[in-house]
Amino acid sequence: MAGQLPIDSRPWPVRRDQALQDKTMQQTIQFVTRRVANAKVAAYTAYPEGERLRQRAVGVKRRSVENMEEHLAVFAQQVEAHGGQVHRAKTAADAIRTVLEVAKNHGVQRVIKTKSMVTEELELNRAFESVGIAVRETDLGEYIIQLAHEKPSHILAPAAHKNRAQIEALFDQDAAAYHTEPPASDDILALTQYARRRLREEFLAADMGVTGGNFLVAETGTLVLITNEGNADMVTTLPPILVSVVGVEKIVADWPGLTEVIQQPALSGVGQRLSSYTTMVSGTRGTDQWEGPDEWHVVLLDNGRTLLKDTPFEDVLSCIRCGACLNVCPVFRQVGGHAYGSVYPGPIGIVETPLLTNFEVLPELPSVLCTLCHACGEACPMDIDLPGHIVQLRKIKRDRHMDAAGVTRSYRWWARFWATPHGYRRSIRWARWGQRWFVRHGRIQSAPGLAGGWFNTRDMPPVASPTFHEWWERTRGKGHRS
Amino acid sequence: MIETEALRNQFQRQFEALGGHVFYASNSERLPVVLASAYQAMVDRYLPDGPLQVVYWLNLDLSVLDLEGILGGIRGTQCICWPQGSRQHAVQEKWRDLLAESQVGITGAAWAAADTGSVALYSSPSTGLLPSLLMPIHIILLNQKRIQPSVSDGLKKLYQESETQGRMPPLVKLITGPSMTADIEGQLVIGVHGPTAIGVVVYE
Ligand code: SF4
Repeated sequence: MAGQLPIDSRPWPVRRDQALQDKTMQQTIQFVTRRVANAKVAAYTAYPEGERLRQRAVGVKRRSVENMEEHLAVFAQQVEAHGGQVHRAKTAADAIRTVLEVAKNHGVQRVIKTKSMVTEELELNRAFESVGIAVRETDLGEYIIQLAHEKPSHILAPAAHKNRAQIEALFDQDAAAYHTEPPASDDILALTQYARRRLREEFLAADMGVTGGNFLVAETGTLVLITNEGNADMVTTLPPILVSVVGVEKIVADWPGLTEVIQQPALSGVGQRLSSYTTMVSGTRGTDQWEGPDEWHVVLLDNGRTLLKDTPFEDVLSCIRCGACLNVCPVFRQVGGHAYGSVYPGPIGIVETPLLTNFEVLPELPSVLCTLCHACGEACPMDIDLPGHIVQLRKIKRDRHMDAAGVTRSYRWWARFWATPHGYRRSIRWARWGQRWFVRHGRIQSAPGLAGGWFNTRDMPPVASPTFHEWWERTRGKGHRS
Repeated sequence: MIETEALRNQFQRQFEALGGHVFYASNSERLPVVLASAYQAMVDRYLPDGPLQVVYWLNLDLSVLDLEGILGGIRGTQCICWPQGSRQHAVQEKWRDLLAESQVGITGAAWAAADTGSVALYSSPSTGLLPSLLMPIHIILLNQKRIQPSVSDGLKKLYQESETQGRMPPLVKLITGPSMTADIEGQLVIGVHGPTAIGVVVYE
């Protein structure tokens, strides 16, 4: 069954223009993506074993996904043997229903959350709020965008589009609402300290914690969470009830497999050998323990993922959400995450959004937000063939007649000419004849019909007279120099 | 011998590169002195004023260490041993409040990894994560025999132990550096939710 993803339904040109006008977002996104992309390269250089580890990790993820169902069954068995409960959710709606039921059964009033792309996929916060349960994001970036009622703009740096003045204003409002002291200044440290103080109250008062998950280990029934801030430790250690919503593809068959993959998200995502905190949950507190949740529910979310099994796109299920492909993508660096209109932005978002939803939402992504530069393919630590998939998705779209009629016609016309040298030369002769109406100050500044859009933001040199081909033909082609 | 020293040095390099502090007691007699000066250095640097309350648990090999005797003289430090009392909710909640208002957590460790500079803590009937969670300063007492060459070796050890125990600890945490974020304008800030400062006292 196709999955459901929340989307920004404004048309692409609107999303694009908004992104291109947002200078704060552009500056921060460019700074952040460059910094982490460089940190990744430096981390691998300083860590000779890194590359070997990475290759082994690819093997582990591929093999685990191959027999996903089998491993998920073992995982469920293990979790249940250690006091937890496992729920399977076919769609986003199923998952939401399950989570809300758990909350209702315990009369939960306050929920604290770690950062999780899957719960963004479910719009879980909205679901909680609709039944009157207060929910608080505890990752600093997520907390900021929760206050702003916005969506993450980068999967690892959700508030990358906000500057400190905007954040201070949000915190001031929050402080007024909760009758607490506002941040001392718009200094980044002061803002962080405010968040620490404010969120501390929420941590201690919450009666349920919600997490995502970076890996699930079938053999031991373990959930692995990776953070730098330490909020996942709070969420897993403090509230009595823990709910973890995790995509089925996060499964890893066994413990040795985990040891091979565990460093990858940090190494490729932020250029650290491990993030500051790696938290592993393997069951409830039990009678002889002091810590751990009294009740632990794991919701395994499908939402379109198993559609990709046994297709040429299966490798997409190895994605570890490291963000490396976003960080190197020249388009992402310009427009940031919001322009994609999907919870999953960047190259992986372009590929996953149409695939998970069977092209029901945002089918334009593979065509409009990629230059086929192949940077993402090189950056992906999981060797996911992102550029290849993007080309395939364009092809599927064309085969399903999903492109606008005008676009299809123009491309077909163009292809007919440029498929042969003769046709190419003819098109150039025509262009030279036609361009006279569109050249200003020695450059082509506009064009008729659909081609006109191309010139909105750029120009190009006119066709030369003679062209190189013509000159060659006239001189070398006849065996003398002129 | 030389090998453990090499591992200790590698661990120290990695841990310090992450912003942590490493102190070294070359034998068990020196541990009290080294711990006292490590503690003093860290509280003076990170919490120059205010009262000091420590919540701690220690590995079995240090069960004779008199923490109150060692730290009590430093700015009137109070030491509270964790865990105690019953496992009932009311008691647990009191503990939580107590932990939340303390300044320093002192814990032992399950193992450490030299290649990543990580320290592993398990939840178990006598060890836990809470004292490493809520306080601004976390100090770990690490027997140098517990330093593994790599994080994979450490995880292997955890797996083998769990086989003899019949289960994994409900919670395991690997600490690789202080709590940090770059969520505001991409600038790195230390100390978001977890400790701002972490120190390890390695002893032989
Ligand atoms: S597709 Fe590859 S690079 Fe992109 S987030 Fe996933 S694993 Fe990372």
